[in-house]
Amino acid sequence: MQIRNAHINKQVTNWLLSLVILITAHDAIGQDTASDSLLLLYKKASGDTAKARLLFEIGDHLSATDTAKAIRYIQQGMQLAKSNRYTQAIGHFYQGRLYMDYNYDAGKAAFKKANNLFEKFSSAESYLYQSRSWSNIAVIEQYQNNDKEYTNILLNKAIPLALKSGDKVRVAGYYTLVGLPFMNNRNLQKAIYYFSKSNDIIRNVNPENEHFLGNYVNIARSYCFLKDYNSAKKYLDSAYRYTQLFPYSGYSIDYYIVKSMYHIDLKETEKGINSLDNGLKLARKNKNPFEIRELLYQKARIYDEQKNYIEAKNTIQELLNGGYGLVDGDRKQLYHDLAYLHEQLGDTKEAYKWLAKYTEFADSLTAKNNKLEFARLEAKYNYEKKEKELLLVSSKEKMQRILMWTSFGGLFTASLLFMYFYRLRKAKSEQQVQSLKQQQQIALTQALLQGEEKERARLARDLHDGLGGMLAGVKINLTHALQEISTPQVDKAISQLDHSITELRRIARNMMPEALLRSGLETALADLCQSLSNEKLKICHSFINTHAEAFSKQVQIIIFRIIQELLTNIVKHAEASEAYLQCSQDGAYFYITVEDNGKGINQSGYGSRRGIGLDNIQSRVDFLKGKMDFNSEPGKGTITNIEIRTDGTL
Amino acid sequence: MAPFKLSVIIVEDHSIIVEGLSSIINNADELELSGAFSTAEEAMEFLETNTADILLLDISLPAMSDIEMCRLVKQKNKKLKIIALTNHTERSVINDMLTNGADGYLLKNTSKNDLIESIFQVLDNKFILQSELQKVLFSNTQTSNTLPRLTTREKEILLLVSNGATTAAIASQLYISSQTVETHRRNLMQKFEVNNSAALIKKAVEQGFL
Repeated sequence: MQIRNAHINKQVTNWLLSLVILITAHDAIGQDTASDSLLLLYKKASGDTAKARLLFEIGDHLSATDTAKAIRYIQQGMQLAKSNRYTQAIGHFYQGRLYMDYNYDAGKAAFKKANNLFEKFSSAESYLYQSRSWSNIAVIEQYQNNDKEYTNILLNKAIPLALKSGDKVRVAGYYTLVGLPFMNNRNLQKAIYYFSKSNDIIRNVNPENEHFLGNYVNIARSYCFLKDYNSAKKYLDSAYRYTQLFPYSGYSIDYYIVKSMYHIDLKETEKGINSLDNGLKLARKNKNPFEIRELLYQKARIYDEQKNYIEAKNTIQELLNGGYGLVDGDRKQLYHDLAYLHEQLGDTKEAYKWLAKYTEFADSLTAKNNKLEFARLEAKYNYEKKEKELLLVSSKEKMQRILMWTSFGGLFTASLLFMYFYRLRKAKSEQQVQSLKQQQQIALTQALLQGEEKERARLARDLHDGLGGMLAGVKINLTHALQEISTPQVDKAISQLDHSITELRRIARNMMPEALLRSGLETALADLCQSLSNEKLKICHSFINTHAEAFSKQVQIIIFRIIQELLTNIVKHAEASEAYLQCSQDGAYFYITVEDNGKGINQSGYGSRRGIGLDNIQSRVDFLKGKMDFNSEPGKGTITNIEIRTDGTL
Repeated sequence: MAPFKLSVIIVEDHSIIVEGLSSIINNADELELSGAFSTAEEAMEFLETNTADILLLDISLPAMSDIEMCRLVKQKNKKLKIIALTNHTERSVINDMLTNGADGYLLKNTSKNDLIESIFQVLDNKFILQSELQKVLFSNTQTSNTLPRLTTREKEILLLVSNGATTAAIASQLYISSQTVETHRRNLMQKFEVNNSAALIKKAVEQGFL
């Protein structure tokens, strides 16, 4: 009995809860009188939009009592709303409300259509409609036993949109709705949290609101489930005040149901029956079959508890025959209960009759349910199977493709690597040959240059000191000897001798400048510029950061020769009035710039006319591993830039 | 006739010249050739025990560096007047000699009168260069312009630097290495006596290069 009782208890609360939701979601008011006054308003209204809206509301009010009429009104309204998208959206919303109780998919579709249209409007009213559409979709989800989606939609869609619209009362209502399934699933702390939250919100808006009643009742119920009867009592007392304020509210009846539950749990059966009778009085006044049904069942349960099986049996029979909109599950339970009660009364024949009825009904019901369940499972299985197959095929294909591309990639990389290394080796060996050749070339040039310079130095010294000295001596002696007999011929001869000596000095100096050996490159170059300058040509020079003394004599001589050749070319060919020599140094790099403002040469013909002088320069620059940049245009002078690396083995 | 003659010694390794010089000196009334030596060391030895008024010194002697000799002799014999007698016409050589103690500088193909006159001038603490040497020393000296002289390449680089080009950009545009560009840049800064590119551009603008 205990077990069955608990079972009944759960059954009862389950359908009771869905009842509560229906009332809240529909926010229904009293029926016909309201629609009549709305019709009156409709007749007075002007403008399609206003008329359409009134038609929708009339349809909405009629939806509970006369669905066909309701549909007509709403369709009429849709006709008027054709030109106005916003009004159309409202129409879809009311259509959704009309459908949601008997055609879930149509209801959902209508609400979604409404929301698609509403989304383009950002008024408070638009948000409110969107919020309501979502809450109704949530309710549909709950009808379909999808509690998770129901909670999700309320929390993430309906409540935020209601907040946006500024309708706090509605937000509070939605929190209540969120709490219900938690209570239903005995997640009671969470349920209490949401009901309390709803109360907190409503308290700031209107402390006299009907929502308090619902929330207090639900919190009390939750505490009953938690067996915390002190708290339950507290909330029941709070709720009582509101039952006086809202005697016609569904929650007022609910209050009595919870109160009786409370008493029954505390074994105060008389008080429990009393509460139920109060509730029944109110329910009959309100003509609410669902609540009457619930109250009667509770009453039967108490009689059973009191072992008053006759009253219990009578109450159940009233339930069965009273036309209170029973569903299959309820009927099954009632058959079972009657069989049990008759058994308790010793009427085995009646008991057997009801038991047989129960079994028959239960079997058909189970078969129906099983069929549905099988179909569902089969569909699910097929779907999963198919998905698995697809996954298998696609992963196989993917694997193949990956394999193919990896092998292609590998092959490609390998061939690239092979080519790279082959080229590297080839280049390396070529480079080795090249550098060997270069080294030989350098050694040869070095030997040649060294020999040449040595020979020049020897010759220059011989000329200068030997022949030059002798000629000088001759001249001194001659002037001394001939000083008495000075004739023009003698003077001319002596002057010619002078010129000869000067010329000899020039030759010797060109061969090996004394200053280069004595004082280094800069001095020799300064002397060179000075000695090559004349009235027509002015040669300036500058040395920046040069430290030529650190170079070997050979390098100094080579640099000197390069510049000597360049300047000599200017003197001989350029017809310039100015020339400029600049030497600078940066670490191992030595830079030479020689410029003139002479007639320049045509560079296109430069290759063929390139004289021995330039070749000499080039070979010396090459020997020093330098670079030469020769730039000349007719009439624009000549610019030579030379860059030499002076470190290394030289 | 003359009770007192000026003493002259010669350091010269060419016998022909020694011969010529000695005949000129001996024919001069106020001069007397005290000795002729073919090396600097011999002359130094002689001067240890004797005095002389004039030394005619050849440059580019073998052994001892003539400049060194000139300095040493002058150090020890402050009163001795040294006249460099050479075939060298390079300015650097002339300068070297004159800054290292030589009181005069004569070319070997000088005339007899010039030689005698030069000796007396030197004794008088005066000295007139031969016209040929004057030309070398004073003509065509570098004009010390206030404006730095730039090469064409430096002007190009200055322009590019002023346009904000980076070293790498300049290098690729002029087909030279970045290292070279850096050197040019540094040289430019040195020429304009500045430390950075901004100051370089400023000064170049001020002086009309940009």
